[in-house]
Amino acid sequence: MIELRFHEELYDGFAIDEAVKLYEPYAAFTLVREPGGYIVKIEGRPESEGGADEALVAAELANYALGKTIERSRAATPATGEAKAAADDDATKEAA
Amino acid sequence: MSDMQTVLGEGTVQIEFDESFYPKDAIYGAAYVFIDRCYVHLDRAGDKRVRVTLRAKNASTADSKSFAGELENELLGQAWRLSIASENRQLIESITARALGGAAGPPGLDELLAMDIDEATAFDDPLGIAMSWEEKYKKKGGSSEETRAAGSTLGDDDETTRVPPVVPVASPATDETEKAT
Amino acid sequence: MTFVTLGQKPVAPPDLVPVRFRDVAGDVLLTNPWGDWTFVSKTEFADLTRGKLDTASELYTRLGDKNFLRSKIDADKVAAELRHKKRFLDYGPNLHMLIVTLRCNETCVYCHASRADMDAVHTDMTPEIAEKCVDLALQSTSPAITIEFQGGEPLVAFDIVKHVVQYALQRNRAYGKELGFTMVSNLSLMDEEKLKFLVGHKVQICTSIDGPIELHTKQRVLVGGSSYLQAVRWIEKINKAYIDIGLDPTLYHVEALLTTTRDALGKPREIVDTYINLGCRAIFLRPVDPFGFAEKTRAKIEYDRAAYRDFYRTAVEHILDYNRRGEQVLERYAAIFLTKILQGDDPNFLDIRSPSGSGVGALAYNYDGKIFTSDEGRMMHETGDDSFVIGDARTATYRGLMKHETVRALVMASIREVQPDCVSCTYAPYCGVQPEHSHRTQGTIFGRMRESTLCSVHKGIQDYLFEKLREDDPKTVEILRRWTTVRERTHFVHASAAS
Repeated sequence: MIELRFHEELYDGFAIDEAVKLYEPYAAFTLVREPGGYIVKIEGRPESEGGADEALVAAELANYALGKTIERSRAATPATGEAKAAADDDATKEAA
Repeated sequence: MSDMQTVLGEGTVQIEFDESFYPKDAIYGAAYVFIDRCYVHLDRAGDKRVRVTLRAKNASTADSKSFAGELENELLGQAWRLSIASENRQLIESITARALGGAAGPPGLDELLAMDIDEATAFDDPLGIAMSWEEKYKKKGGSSEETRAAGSTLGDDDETTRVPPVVPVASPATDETEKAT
Repeated sequence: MTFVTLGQKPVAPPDLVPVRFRDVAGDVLLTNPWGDWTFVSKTEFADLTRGKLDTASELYTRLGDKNFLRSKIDADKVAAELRHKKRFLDYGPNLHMLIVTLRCNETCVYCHASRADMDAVHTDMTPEIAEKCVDLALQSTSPAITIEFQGGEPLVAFDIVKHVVQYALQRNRAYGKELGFTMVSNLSLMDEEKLKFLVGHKVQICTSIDGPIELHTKQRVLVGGSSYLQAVRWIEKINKAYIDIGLDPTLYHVEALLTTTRDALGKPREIVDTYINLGCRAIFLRPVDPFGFAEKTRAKIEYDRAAYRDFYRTAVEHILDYNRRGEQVLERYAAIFLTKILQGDDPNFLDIRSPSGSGVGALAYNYDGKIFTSDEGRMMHETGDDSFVIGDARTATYRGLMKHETVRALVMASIREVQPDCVSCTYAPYCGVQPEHSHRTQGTIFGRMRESTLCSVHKGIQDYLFEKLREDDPKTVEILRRWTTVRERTHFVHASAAS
């Protein structure tokens, strides 16, 4: 089993939740909230059951959690002015 | 005096530094640059200290020293960029709005027709533009916020001088934005 | 431990505008934010940093004449000039690159990952996708549009090329653009019939020449033939065809492009001689870039940019020598920078402008309909990086492409005046770096300029040009000024009234 520790001042709890959900098919997870942060315990599943190496899952999950944390922290800050608002309107609707 | 501590391993780098030198966004930005080549982890290393751990995805070809140097340079670049961007926000917005507005051009009829304007939203008036002055700053029954914004004591007659709240004047960037959309 | 006294804190004369400075040719080059420049001696510079500026001095007059003094600036005039220089901000992409096939009959050592074998017909663009690409291109807010055929080798999919030309001309009747076509081809599959169509439909032709025959054929392998001899043969035929229809050969001829590989570094003069013997009037001394296949062969062809800078200087000196003997030939990089430095204008070269042309200046349409912010973005897609995909020709709308968050990010990342290092670089008013290049080499679209090979090239070229301007040899300066003269090739423009 691998334990990943994420400090609450550096990682977003929702980002970690999202990361765990994404990698759920590949391993078994236990999430623990403790003072100062979050612990994600990862236990690998056999490949025959669709699992993957737990060290790999842990590493990829950490990267994903970091990316999502950054995304959420940027979304939480005011947009960079009118330029973003101007260009944003239909971008997601129209992007192929 | 703060110091930056670097520990090199085979395919791994751990760098600890005083976070007062680098805003959190700079730390995130610098760490993220490595996410395609490394597994990245951030942690606290004591009071006001952050530790960044990079573990190369391909340890056999990784150059830890190079990663360390790159991370340090990227931290500096990201921190400086945040500072420059903050000081030049209006310039960035102005140029970006003009470039995107100029490239996109005005919306066509199809786009206007596709906009989310229906009976429920068509008459929304968040800025109170359609409201008369009297209605907006009515003497009796007005909210305390309105009377404070009015900037003077209320009187009982229409000749009482009221100072309307300051209405932000559209900046050039906003004007370009209006054109763009 | 030795302590070094840094001296007094610098204080600028109150009348001096913000300046950037750099040691060039033994003096100090000053530039201001709107692109004016002047040289001052080190003594004069030291005085300026102590706040000293004698209003009766020649320096004061010179600074005043060149918009370096607040009290002397005609703000309206400077603003108008800046607006003119940045007029490209008002328009969308003028360059639309259609990758009509990935199939190619040559194998080039620096080839980007945009090449497939000749039987890979699934990599040909379909007429339906081609039409969608043209429809999008014509919706650009730019009044002038160039459709550039690329590959692979576009002559392999000549039917699609013809279809695009004919379709675009027909559709342009409704749009009224100044429409142009160019093709980048190795020319080995050219024949008389194709040539007749291309010349008749005013398609500008560009090719690659890597230098003398032995270098070119070593780097560009054509099975069963000589890539160099084929290219030269058709360059001559095409140039003759232009003369036959009455065009001025000094203006209308095949343009050739160089990719400077490691093997080329030792042959600057030979490469220039080759180009001039082929009748080329412009030589673009491009360094090798880091995209696609070139990555795999990096060990063979890459090099330190210091070596490139030496190559560049030797080659351009040789070109200048030709000019001094009466040959009219320019170096393209120099011409781009000199237009900004000497004319106060911007030639709108998309990779050297701020913000860059990624997305808002150019679009690349892949054979399968995917749309990219640049050809470099497309090449990265071919090696698995989809960061610069912004749409699909079958479903995208023009405005949707321009409002894509990736386009916005690239615009913001390439505003040089607000990036670390560029913010204090003397060459910021003239320079530009493509964010896709930074992404590829450093993992970030912003880039770390001190580590950027592209920045190194641009600084090296501008250092060289300003050294020449500092030397102030009249003949050389006259030649460099002539390189900024733009003679429009109006023959290649399908004016809207004629479409």
